[in-house]
Amino acid sequence: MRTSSIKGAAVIGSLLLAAVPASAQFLSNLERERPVAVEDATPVPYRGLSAALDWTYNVRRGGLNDEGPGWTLVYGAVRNLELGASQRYVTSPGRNALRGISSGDLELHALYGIVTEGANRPALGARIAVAFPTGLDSRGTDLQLAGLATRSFDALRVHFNARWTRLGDTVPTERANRLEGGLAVDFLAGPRGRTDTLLLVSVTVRSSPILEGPAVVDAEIGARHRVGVQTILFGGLGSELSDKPDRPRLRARVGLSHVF
Amino acid sequence: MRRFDGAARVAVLCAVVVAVAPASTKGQEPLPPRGRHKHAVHRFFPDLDSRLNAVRYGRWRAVEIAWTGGINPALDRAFSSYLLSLLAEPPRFPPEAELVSPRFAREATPVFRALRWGQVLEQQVGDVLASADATPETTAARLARALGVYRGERWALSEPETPAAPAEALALAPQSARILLSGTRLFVLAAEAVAASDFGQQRWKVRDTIADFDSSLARDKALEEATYRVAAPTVAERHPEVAAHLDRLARFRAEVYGALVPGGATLEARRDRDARLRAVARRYGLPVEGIGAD
Repeated sequence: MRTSSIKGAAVIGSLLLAAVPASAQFLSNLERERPVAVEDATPVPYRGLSAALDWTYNVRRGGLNDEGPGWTLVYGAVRNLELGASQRYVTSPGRNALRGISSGDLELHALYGIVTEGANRPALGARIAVAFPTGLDSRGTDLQLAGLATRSFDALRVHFNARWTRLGDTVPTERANRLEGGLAVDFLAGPRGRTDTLLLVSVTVRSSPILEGPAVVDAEIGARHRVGVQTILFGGLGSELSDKPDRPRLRARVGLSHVF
Repeated sequence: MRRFDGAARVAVLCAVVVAVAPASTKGQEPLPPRGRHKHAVHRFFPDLDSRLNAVRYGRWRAVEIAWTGGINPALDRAFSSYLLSLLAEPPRFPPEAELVSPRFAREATPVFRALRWGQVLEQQVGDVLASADATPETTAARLARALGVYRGERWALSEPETPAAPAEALALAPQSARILLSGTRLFVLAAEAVAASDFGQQRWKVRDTIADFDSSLARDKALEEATYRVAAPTVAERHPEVAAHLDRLARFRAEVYGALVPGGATLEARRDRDARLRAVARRYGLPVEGIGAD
């Protein structure tokens, strides 16, 4: 675990050292969980470094609430390719580990923009992520592959994500191969078409972490609001639509994203 | 830590190959060079910056509306009203062009990129000239670097071999044209104000520039009044290449508006519009693939 942490720190350090300040704002550049689970198909621009920090609170039945911070660093390493690292912590890591939610796992990802949006085609992207078991009560290295698509319809943009996750280590009742599909819509909310506030609505369907379990549906709404030339305040509310007794009845997330 | 099985290894290999494949030249333009001049206009002259932002919004909105509706007197009234309402409460931050002009961005990509890349250069020049630590040497070096980065992209404009015909759009939408021309002139005069003086004097000159812009929005102006060559002699003398590039950008923008006159209401109009826009793109050395929906 110590080796993984050192490797993670080295990657993050190299990203920071390589950063070049940007002079643009990325209200429209959706990252995963900033604030909804669905992201857009466009990598951050070449030389852009985006850092985000949030706090997430899950309200569950029976006083089993949990909360914790999450951070993300994303860097436009070359044209059309972003590299990123992220980590999320939650309270009650032991109990959450049984739900498939790890606390402190380091995820590294690469997102490649295959094509940009054209007159008759959406923007397409491919994302690969590896989650290392650096967190508490974590097991196995997980692999994630995803296909991303974004299509704009005048003032509206639609995003579709399809994701396959392979867990490196599972218990006999746990599903090792998990599928996830997400659909999101975003649109500007500012007066006179100002690009300062973006509203988002998303629905995600994913395999149950338990074998033979029913699929899990997540519904989320969120907003991204520009508070500085290079700073975005984001927040979202979500709920898991399932019959599990300890499902998150309400998930609230608020955070800041800054482009250096 | 358990190792991946065979299928997962193949998937990882495929993903890595995709990820490290040579980046397509169709990719995004890079972010501009860093430096202490970053956002200097926004930080030191917020009133000026908000008006420049309003002009930027207006330009993107204009191409988006004209792309589908064409340029005509009806559009002129609606668009000039939008611009005036925007200027009444100017925005603090620059627009995200792809959100203001989504259809133009995906159906006329090379021209959209050239306009956006030009906007980046224009913004860089303003910031460099307005920088608090500006000296003749640092300004020249920063502008040379910004220009070098600009030229390095395929969306940089080349000088056309022949001069353009007078822009038809100016006559068809006179109110909007006057306001947009005032906006271009604001960029030029602002650059001259911050280039010609030290920081103490800059504040007064910028204030006068803003007052002049606010009071003369609808006044008739000659096209030459909105060029660096005529209205910003200090910039043109000290940094002739930069001035030439920015004047070229203004001419290109005017020609783009001219090409959008037919609009996209009918198939015939779309063909005419696309052909005109391709001709403009060719004149300025831009690729024409990706212009039009066919």
